[in-house]
Amino acid sequence: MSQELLQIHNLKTYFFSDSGKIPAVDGITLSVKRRETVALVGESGCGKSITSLSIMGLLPESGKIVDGEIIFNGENLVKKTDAEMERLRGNEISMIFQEPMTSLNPVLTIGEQIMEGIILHRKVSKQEARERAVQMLKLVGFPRAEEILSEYPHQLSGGMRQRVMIAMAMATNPKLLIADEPTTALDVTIQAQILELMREVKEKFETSILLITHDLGVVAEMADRVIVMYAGKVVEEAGVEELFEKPSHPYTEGLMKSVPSLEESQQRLYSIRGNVPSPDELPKGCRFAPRCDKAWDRCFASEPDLKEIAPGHAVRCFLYQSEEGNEPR
Amino acid sequence: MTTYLIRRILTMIPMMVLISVILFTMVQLAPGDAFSGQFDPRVDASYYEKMREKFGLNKSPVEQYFIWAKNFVQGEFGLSFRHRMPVSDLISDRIGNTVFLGVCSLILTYSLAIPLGIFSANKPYSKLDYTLTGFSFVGYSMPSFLAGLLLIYLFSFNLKIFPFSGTETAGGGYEGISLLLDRLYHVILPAFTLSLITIAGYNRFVRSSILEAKQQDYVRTARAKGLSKSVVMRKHVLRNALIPLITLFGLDLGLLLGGAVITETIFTYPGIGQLYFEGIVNRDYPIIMAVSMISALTVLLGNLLADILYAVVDPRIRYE
Ligand SMILES: Nc1ncnc2c1ncn2[C@@H]1O[C@H](COP(=O)(O)OP(=O)(O)O)[C@@H](O)[C@H]1O
Ligand SMILES: [Mg+2]
Repeated sequence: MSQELLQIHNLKTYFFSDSGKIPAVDGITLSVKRRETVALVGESGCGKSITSLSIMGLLPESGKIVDGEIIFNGENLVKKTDAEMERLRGNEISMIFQEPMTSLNPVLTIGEQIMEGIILHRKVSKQEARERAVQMLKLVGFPRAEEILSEYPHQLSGGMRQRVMIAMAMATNPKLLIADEPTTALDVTIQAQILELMREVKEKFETSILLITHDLGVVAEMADRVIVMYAGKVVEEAGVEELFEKPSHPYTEGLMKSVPSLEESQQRLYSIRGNVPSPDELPKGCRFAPRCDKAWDRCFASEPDLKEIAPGHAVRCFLYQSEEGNEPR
Repeated sequence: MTTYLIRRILTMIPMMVLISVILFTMVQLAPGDAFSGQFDPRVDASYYEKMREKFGLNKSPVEQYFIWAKNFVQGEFGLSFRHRMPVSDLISDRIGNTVFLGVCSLILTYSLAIPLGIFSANKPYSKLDYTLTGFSFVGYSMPSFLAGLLLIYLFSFNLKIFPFSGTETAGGGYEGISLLLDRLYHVILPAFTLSLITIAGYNRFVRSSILEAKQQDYVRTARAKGLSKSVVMRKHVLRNALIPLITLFGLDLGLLLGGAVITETIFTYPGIGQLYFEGIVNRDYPIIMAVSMISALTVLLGNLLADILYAVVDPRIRYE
């Protein structure tokens, strides 16, 4: 059994519209080991969600994987049929989403929604599925689990709904849990509880987690390894400690600086100037160059490759690619 | 819920009183009365005066209203000027026909509009979808008298498949099941005429409701569980998409009688809609008042039913 549970190689996911193709994910490579938590970070619009939906095979109709492979547990998901993906989804790979308020069906009970996945994948009776659902609800912190089964989503708070989502996702004991901004929509105190719960669940089920977030606080607390994404590409990748100690890509540095810090009472919070370019109007050269304080001529002319600067630490930036005849601007 | 219901039903009483005052005023404001249109040279003018006296038409409008209201609450709907019969008898003879027509038209509406809407939503912007949109547009904008006449022309005169009037074959002597079939055979064209607008409107409504539900986050969650598209459609999308339709059912109920006036008249179908039409033509105000009141009551009850059904099918709605 290989150590890598998930290996994405050169994945390109494009949208096709009347105005042409939109490269939302443009050749990313990443891997998640067994029992590892990998954080995928980047500002909104960088292609994080589209990456996760590509893995799940749940892209919107106008989106297509045009190149690359997604090897999960030794099998290429890109090649799988709908039926094969359905057997995998919610079974070997589960996913939880950002909006706990809208991610549950308002007209079905919590019980029905947890049980349907169990019945589908475990081929058990309703009674057994019910028992499993109760067990899962207790595990995620509902002491009165039996009652919750017959309640509807609107009767629960956002944090409780996210717990239900976790119970639902973990009920089939998946190998990989993809969590797309699982705490972004929650209050800070609830966020901490949900993160704690995810850690517990991960230990108990020995699951790997691909955690998508734009919150470096969450990354520091949860991740083993971090992948920084910018405009559809990976710009930096490192172990969590290494990354916080030596953020190397100017984009990563910018992200770090924009985290509010408790010690220094900054008058104004730093933020990277400008916005993430929309994938249909990407700049020439390095995609970050127009927002970068350290950019020089070369950055606007061509795009740097992802290069390893230390074991397990890779950066896509000319600053780390010594070549003669170039002066910082 | 029970207190809510009682409160709702109690508030209907002042509403019905208000409606009756407005109706009565409108009937009074209309020029002439039941006898002013009858020019029969053989009849002495003093006869009409006597009749006006007899039916209380010479009294002041306010007095007339109270006389009418007092009788009405006692179940006395008055005498029809035209038929010289108690209005309650006229109505009880015909109301069954109208209910039958209404039920058939509702069944037609839902059994056609829902599947058509689903077909459209399965392949939006396809040829089938555009075709249905086109037909719905025509069906929605065509006045029902025109639709009725076209159906009669096509199916009764040209194709001779369906009868164009009545509720059953005269002298057919059918009983039991065969009577029911005979009545269904007679009711098909009027029921279709009556439901044309709702079929046209609802299938579009179902279509857009489904397309909207498909976009929701919970659908993605359901797919992420590994459920197939068809199961997600059945269990998650349709349930959410059809809820608003159930409330429309209650509202629709109240509008049926209005539609039945034209339809029954065109198909000379002896229901209370046709009775109402006659009543208006003849200025037979006891009939106008009685049928209008029935219609107002069905609208109010339909609204109440809509709210109750909403609470039944949607767990988010609870009435205190
Ligand atoms: N349905 C879609 N059609 C066209 N473009 C899309 C669609 N969904 C996402 N995109 C594009 O893909 C980019 C990445 O989106 P996403 O993965 O959701 O970003 P995030 O990193 O915030 O999760 C967006 O900037 C957007 O332009
Ligand atoms: Mg996102």
